[in-house]
Amino acid sequence: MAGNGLNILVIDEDPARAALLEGALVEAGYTHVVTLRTTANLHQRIVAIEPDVIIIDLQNPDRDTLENMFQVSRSVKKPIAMFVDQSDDDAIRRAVEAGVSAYVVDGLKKDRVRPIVEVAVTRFESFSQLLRERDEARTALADIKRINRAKGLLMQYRGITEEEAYSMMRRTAMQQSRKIVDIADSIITAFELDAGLLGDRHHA
Amino acid sequence: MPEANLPVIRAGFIALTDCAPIVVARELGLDLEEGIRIEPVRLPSWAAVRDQLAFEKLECAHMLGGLTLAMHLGLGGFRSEMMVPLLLGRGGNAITISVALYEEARTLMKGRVIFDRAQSAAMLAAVVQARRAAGEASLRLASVHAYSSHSYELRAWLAHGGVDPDQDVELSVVPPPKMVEALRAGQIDGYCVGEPWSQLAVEEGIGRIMATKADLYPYSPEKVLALRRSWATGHAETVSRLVAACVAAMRWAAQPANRNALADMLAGPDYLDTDREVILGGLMCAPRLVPGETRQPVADYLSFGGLDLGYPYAEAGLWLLAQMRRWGQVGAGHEDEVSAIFDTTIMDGIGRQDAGSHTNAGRRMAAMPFDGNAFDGGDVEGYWRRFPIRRGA
Repeated sequence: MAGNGLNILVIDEDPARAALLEGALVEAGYTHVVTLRTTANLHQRIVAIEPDVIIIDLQNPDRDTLENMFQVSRSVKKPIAMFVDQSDDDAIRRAVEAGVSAYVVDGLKKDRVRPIVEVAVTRFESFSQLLRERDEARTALADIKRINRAKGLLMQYRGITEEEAYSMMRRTAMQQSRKIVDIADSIITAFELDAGLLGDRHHA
Repeated sequence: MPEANLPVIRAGFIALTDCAPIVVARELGLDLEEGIRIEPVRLPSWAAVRDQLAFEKLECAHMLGGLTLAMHLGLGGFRSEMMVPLLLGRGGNAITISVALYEEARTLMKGRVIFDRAQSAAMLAAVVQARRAAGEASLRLASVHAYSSHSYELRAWLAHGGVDPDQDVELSVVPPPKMVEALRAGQIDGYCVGEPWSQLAVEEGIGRIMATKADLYPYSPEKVLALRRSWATGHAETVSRLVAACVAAMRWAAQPANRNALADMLAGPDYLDTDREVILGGLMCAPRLVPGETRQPVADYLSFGGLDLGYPYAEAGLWLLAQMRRWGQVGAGHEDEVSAIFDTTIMDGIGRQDAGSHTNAGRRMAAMPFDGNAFDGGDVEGYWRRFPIRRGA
């Protein structure tokens, strides 16, 4: 298997993404994979693990600390450098795009590292896709809740049926070329404003 | 032209007071006046700024001068040809140590303290000796990056006080916004960082400022506006507008009357996300140096001059190169390459009305060195080799 013998360290504060990446690496035949969720005691951990390849989230705030450790520390036995394959600029560009950064032991053949970075990039990309889909699903759910609330307000105060309320909103949305959820928001705001004004009058 | 059609310039920055030129240009709409739209992008580490700039996720960045040289020279992994059309301000750095370490030093020196900030590292020399004799752990000090002015200032200050930065203490790197947290947690005993992260430690009562950049190398370069040379070459007109917007922002930021507004602007959640009062001490050039004591004027503590100070004179690059040579970070013979990064053509093009004032910048930088070694941009090798404590070969 391609990965035999290589020590891979994954540093990722997101436990779900870390698990996804670790699973994919093991599946690809890399048996020595260690995952760290925090950068606490990073120096000691690296000395103990002696990684050949480190995969870390590009946005991790401790990357400067990590890079400096490789540059100056005498206790990190294997000199580690940032993985940049100048012959394959597109691959690196894709890694930066996906938010992956990789560090490798000096002298390690690029061909041995590239598939690891490739796995990481793919997993980071699919993880972002998952997050996007989750956010979209959340938005959709929130939209439905707001539409239902507007519908309820119309039914209560106009004395119309649910079906009539919905078609009134849909008609308005089409006429004004706006989304139905925006119409729902306008209705909710209008009713809240009205209730507020009534409240004020009541107190006055 | 409608705003949506203007060329967008993504500008990376780190949460530091001297990112102000970029923030002010955007917040006051000085970018729109120049026919461009600056999009500030806050990033969590210098490594992220470097990567995103090199791989075209950003057009420009608020950048460490030394790291810009390192990128250009291909140190630390990859090479990207760089260009610096503007220096983004001056000063702003300070060396802070924990209150506990200061007390340890004061006790060892039997209450004899050193008030001259340029010489104050000698107090740490006493701690280094005592701890070594007792077989105790060495001092742990941090800067923000190996190729940062902060690292060079901390090293120079220590060396001048008789502390070898590589042999006598443990130097590490911590990102600026996490410095105070690291000091509070006892992970480090002191650090050199840019504002507002020195003031914050003092205001919180856990740190004490021992020296400032103004005490050491007041005219040496600080952050730069860094661009990829390939992008700059293809977008000369846009670069010129970008520099003009930043220069206008620096002029505004340099006005004492605008300090309060600037502190409010920077304090926001999208920028420094910290207390405006903490930012203000640095902006007023009147930092609090000791917890509980009154603020004290420090000339040139932090400034955004106009054209003069932003002028990217070659000596700024050569000074950084000399530091890199002194500490063994790069081989000899890069003078011409480094001078070429600092490109004065844009400033010469937009700033005729102020011409004349910037010719002295390099000369001023050489004057009155705290360590007695006068810098000469024409003799980088001779300069750093005169230091008794040095790593270069």
